[in-house]
Amino acid sequence: MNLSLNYLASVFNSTLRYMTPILLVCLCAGVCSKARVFNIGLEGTLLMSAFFAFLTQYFTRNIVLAVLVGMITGMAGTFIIAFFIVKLNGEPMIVGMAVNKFAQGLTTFLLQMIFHTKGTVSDTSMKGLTKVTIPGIKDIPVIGTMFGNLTVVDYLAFALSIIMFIVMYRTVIGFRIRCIGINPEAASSLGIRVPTYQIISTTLSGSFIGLAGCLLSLGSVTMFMQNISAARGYVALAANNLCFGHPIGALASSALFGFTTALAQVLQNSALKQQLLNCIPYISTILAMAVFNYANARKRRK
Amino acid sequence: MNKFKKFGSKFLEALGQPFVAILISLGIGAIIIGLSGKDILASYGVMLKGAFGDGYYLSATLQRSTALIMGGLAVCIAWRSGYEAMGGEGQMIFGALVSALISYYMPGPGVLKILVGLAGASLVGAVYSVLSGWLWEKFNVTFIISTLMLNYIANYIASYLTTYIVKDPQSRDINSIQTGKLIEEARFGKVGGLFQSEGLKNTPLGLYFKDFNVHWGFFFSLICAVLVYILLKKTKFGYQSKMNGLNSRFALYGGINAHRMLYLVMILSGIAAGLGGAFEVYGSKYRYIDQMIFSTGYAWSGMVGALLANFDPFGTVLACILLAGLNTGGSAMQRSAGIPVETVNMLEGIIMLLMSVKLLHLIVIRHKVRREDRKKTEELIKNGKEAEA
Repeated sequence: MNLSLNYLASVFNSTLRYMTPILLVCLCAGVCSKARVFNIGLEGTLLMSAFFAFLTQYFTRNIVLAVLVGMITGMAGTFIIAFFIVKLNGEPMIVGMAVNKFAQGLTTFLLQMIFHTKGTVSDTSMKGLTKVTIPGIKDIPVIGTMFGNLTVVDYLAFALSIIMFIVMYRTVIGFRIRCIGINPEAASSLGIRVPTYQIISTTLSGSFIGLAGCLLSLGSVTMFMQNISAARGYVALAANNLCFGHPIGALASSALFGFTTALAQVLQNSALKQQLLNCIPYISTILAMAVFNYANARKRRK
Repeated sequence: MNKFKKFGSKFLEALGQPFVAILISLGIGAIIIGLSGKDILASYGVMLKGAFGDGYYLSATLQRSTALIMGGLAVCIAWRSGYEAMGGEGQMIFGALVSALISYYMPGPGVLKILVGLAGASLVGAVYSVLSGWLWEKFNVTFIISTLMLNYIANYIASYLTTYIVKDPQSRDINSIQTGKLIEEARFGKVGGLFQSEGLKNTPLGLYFKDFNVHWGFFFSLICAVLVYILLKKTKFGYQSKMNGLNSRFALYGGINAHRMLYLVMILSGIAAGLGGAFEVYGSKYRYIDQMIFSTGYAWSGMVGALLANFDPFGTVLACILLAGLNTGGSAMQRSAGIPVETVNMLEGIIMLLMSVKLLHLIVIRHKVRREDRKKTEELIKNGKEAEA
């Protein structure tokens, strides 16, 4: 294997590209966990928003509209989950799984009805998200590769994690949301309308999932295939567990998962077969959680 | 009379909720079918006929329900005890793969092949299930994440093995990723010819069951349901596990060994799921085919069945047969009306969503509260008037 600097730079680049969808979903999961809405419907919401963003772009060829539709889908999915959990007192696990199952059925159904296929839909004439080229950096050899091929939403994801930190830790609204997470009764006794806060905050954060969906179907490749989300929603849930819902920590934990996915891609030409390489992100998720929780438990004991 | 009423309300509570959920989801399904420009009534007619229409379709439904029932029972055991594990899929995949391999490569008579294969499937299912339990107890990795990840890992590993290591030696087609086909003796026999004696042959019953042909796996899964019922409702373990599910701290206080409980529950649910995979191999596929469990979603449908039945073993059997019927009927609908069978996935999602909130409960409770409120205010007014007088 050729371990040149340029090669490492391209690994770094694909790490960035794989981590941003997970980061965005992880930010949403962070808000949900802080607001005490246990959301495992992230996966299905992601799948649906990827699909509807793709569909809009396919028919209107208007990228702004496509992103908007993706965000609205993300918000709608998260709203349903939050509403069923908070207002109707549903069992969170079941609500989330129901949304995942529904999304799977809906996307395959529409794929079949509109494109008459069950596999992959792609259209080479379709434009994806706008790529950002920073003028000075592009021509520098290594750094140019490191930050090449990134879309607007990729940069937005990094910006959002900082914005979310400010919102959650430096504003009154953020304090209230975190207060609800720590003790809903106390928050309610202070006059905070707990259910309203829970539903609105999680619904708004659902738009991040929409952005992540756009990245999947309109990012580096413009295509949609059955089950394109490939458990990224669950991985993001694990990433959120690692960083305790902290937006800046989410950067680190999603980078870890982005890296393992990139690793699986890098090793493609080695002796390991594709099917085993596909396991790497899932195995590393379990390993990361196990190691992290174990270390944490030991620290607490001391 | 009172006792009768109590029984009636219990009955209504158990059946009303799933009934309403299924009805609403079918209604939404009707809207979807209508929107895609198809005839609603005809589509549902085809669906009903394709699920339970005659002996042939009924046996297709029952055969499909076999794996669902086993997956559902696995969920019953685990969730009732408070462990919300969703690893049935991975356990089923390994159960199917291991049983197919053992029965293909092991020499000996057919019965022995099946028995060792079933033992192997339950062992591997239990081990894979215990793995997630161990990860939870030792490293605090939540069940949702560990089991979901293990499902994906199991599917990829099984896919790797069938592609490169244990591929069917006799297969000429390069694209068929599967293990070798089991010999005739190492398969489950079929039960058919019900009500076909001379006297009954031409009655409606005989005509209905003319093409009825179901493998033994279905009946084994019914036996498993009875065993699980006895285990959960009639033994000390069943009571302890229920207490653990309702309130784990109370269970601990009551002297239940949490460590032992966790592993016992995990082993039992793993065995059920592993056997489900093996039944599918011995009963209908006769080999392990890549993605055969992952893409059909047996474990997930089984989970929906268990939820519909509120984790009651017999209810799970009924719900799973119904869900399997929804799917075989959906396939018939796809063939004749061109509506993809995935619509059924959507309907299952809606059923789950509605079951999660105990819809009927909500309405009934609201109604009761309102009635009591009214009574109270009326009493207050009455008391007030009396005081005035």
